[in-house]
Amino acid sequence: MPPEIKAIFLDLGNTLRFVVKDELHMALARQAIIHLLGSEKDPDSFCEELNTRYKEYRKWAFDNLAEAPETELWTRWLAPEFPSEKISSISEELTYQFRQTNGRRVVVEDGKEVIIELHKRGYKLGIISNLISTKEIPKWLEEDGYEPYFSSVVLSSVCGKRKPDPAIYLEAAKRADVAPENCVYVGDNLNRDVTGTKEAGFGMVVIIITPENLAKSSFTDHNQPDIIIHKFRQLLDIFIERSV
Amino acid sequence: MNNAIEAIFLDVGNTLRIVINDTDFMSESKKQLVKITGSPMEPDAFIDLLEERYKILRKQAKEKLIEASEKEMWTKWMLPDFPIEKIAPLSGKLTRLWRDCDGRRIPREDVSEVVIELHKRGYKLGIIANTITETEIPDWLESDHLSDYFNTVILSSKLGIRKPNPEIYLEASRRIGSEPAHCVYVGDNPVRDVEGAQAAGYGMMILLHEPDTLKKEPPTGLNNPDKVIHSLSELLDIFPIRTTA
Repeated sequence: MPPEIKAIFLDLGNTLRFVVKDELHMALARQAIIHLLGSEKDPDSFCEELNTRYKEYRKWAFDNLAEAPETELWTRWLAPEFPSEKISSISEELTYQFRQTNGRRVVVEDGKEVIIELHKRGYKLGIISNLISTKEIPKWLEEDGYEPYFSSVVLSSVCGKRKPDPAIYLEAAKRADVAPENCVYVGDNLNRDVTGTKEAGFGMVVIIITPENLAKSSFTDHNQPDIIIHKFRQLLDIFIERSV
Repeated sequence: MNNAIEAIFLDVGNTLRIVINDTDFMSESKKQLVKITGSPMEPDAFIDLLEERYKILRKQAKEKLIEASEKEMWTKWMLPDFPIEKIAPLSGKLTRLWRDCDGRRIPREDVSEVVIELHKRGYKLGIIANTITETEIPDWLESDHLSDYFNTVILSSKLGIRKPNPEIYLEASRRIGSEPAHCVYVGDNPVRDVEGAQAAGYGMMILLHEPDTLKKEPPTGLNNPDKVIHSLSELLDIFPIRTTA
């Protein structure tokens, strides 16, 4: 008997949203960072330097399953040569722009339609994402009209913990006011997204990957999701109308 | 010349049997299949998902001319997201149901008569079939009382390789104990069935003219059969009583 699912938590990167390499968008973001810092440096080479420093940070974050607050990210890791009082006050905007230097994020095919429909069917919806920016998601949810559908948004940059630390999943369930066993997590990463969710006691894990990648995947007792689907839209085939 | 032929190998799909589009049977099979997996998904949606995965499996099977065993098919390709200890023991049953999802297989009406007569005339008979199931053809032969007439039944799912890989034809001739030059293959596929049998050095290739197959896989003109027949019974005109020297 499958558990009764009341809340659906979605991963963002490569599940609900994908990165599009929009060169203009990326170049403008590099300029914005230089402008915010009031620096004279060349935007392209400075951002290359940022990426090198970011790699160091990522290693720390992965090893500790932690996410630094944005102020610390910039004063300690990414721009330590700048005066820290100044950097602290603009760190939120800097992180936002730094994310944009990777590209523009677009929602998966049928994404909005599926979210609206799942909401209509009576599920609480949430987001659990490893993300350095605190501003990006709230801004996107508001601008693109997603706010009414998500009742629990947990970002590693706010929570301090990163997936697969079970604490981040438990925090999300708590905020949605649903017991973990009645929660499902939907992600794209067989290794990261399955283990933590199971440890947190989530009732179900759904992984979305292409059938080509499925054929290349290997499974152990630890990364076995409950269901694998191939398109975001197929969530509607799993989560039918909730009878309340 | 036909005296040289000692062994006759037959294809099954669209040669000895055809598929009937029996919608009740097909939807019942789908229902059964979804039920035994215990999937919480809607049955039609679950079948769609499996079809996407099956396409990938087929693609590599056709490219590499290999066939997965039933167990590998389900635990590795179709339901890797299900517990292996649950799926592995069900794989035979699942394969049968999966086959039944695309129709009911019935023998052509002259199969029994032709098989029994060729046997009587002194030919060794065998089957060489590309099939995902390991039990369906043996079960059919058994239930239609034809098992005793076949010396050798070669299934791609058991051997691991598929037609037109010449190895499958060579293995068949070894098992039946006749040189490839003394074997004939009878099939309906103008490319796959002709190419493999000829590459293996079979003495003869007979193509059963089947409009459905020709529509899907038109002849390339590169491989020509020795003879074309329009019904299985014509085999009786080609193969007279064998006179053993």
